[in-house]
Amino acid sequence: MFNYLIKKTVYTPQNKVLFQRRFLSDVMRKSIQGAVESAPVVLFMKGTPEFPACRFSKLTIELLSQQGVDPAKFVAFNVLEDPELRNGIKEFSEWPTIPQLYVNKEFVGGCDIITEMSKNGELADLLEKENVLVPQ
Amino acid sequence: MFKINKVLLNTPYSKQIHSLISTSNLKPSKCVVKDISGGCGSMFEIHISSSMFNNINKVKQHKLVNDLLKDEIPKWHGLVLHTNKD
Repeated sequence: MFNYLIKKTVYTPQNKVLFQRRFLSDVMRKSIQGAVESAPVVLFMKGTPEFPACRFSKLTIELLSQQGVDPAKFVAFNVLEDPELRNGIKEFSEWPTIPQLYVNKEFVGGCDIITEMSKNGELADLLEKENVLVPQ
Repeated sequence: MFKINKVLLNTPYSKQIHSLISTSNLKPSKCVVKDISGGCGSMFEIHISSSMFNNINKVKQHKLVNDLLKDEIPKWHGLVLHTNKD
């Protein structure tokens, strides 16, 4: 399928650039999809869970640990380590800000949404339903 | 929850964002734009209430606003967004 596309593409300088950009984004899309599927709970954040580098990421980590998310089912990606991921994840989720939370491959939201969900109890319900909490 | 040192209301740029939102097809009944950057002018807290939000979930509500501000948000350092049904 892909080879077919390459052969059929007529290279003019302009669409070559377009094609390369598209190609990069496809590779990125695939690797981000892989990242999203790498654990039941995936957080894209600035810094690490031990040392968050932004107060919104810090708040999100605090909320998730308060809820009792199982560390064995949790993975965090530091977007500051990878500028391509930092921009790619925004396009992937169609969401302009970081942190971004995925639970079982579903996009849940950013910091504001998670804060609100934790206040009204929806976050606890969601995490319980998706079975990602530390077993009692 | 966290300390915000200085909140600026009505900087020229936040007025511009305010008018962008209030003249949009969201037709907000309430719109507040606060500059919470503490000086640099690139972090905002935005509160919007609109009847457009009535039948959709939070993620979709935020996406409507994100789409409206898609040319502005990439320039910012941070955004706190609160959307409410009308």
